[in-house]
Amino acid sequence: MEQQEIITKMKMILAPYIKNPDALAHLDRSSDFIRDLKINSANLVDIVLDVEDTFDIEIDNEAMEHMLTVGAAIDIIKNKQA
Amino acid sequence: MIGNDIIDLEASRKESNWQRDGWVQKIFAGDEQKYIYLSVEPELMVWLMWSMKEAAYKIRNRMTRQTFYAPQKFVCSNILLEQSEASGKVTFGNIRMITNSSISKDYIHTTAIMEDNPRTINAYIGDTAKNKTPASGRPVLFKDKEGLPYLFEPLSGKISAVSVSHHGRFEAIVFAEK
Repeated sequence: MEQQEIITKMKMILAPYIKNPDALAHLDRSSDFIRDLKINSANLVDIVLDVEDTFDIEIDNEAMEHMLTVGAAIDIIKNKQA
Repeated sequence: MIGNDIIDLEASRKESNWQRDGWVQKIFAGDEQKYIYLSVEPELMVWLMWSMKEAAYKIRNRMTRQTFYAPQKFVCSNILLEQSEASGKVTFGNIRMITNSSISKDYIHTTAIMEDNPRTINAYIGDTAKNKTPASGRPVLFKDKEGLPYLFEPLSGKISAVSVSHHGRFEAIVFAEK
């Protein structure tokens, strides 16, 4: 799957949890879920579950530990799909 | 080192579905899941343990400045839950922390301290909606160049390093008594 396609799907996953709508428009690889997108830390679990469902992958605890930015999430998705 | 976490129970009900498939399993290890499923108030137990893990994470984060997302690595145990308060332990590797929580129908507020460095903790819990108008004598929060928060108390002139937490309607500021 192309990076752009993953980003588009990531935006759809993130939208319901983002308290700062402007941030969604400016989202890029370096966007931090908590610091930049103001996502509640309890909702990170929902994002992990949504990513698992959307991309049909399993994210283990080790991968989840580093899934704090859009870029990290994309790398995990690409890695698991490879 | 102190840490704290406040959970607005009304907001958490809106923002999270803790009964979603896989949700509990991603955050809580086996023994913690027992606390949840054996509790007469499983929802309260979920958020109590979540606040314990978050308060403990803030201590760890302040020690190392590292950010990561590993809720299962903060292991809750020895939980004593009473009507309006709770206590417990959280371990992260060989780091051992003690937590105390106050519980109302609106929020859970948890503070964490290092087991080997017990401190008396002062906490201000504010309703952010009600606290908009500044009053003289009310403590003022400010941040240093590194972004670490401090509290200035105009009445005493005292400045203390603090831990800040906010969620939904509530903001909590805690600091250790010297």
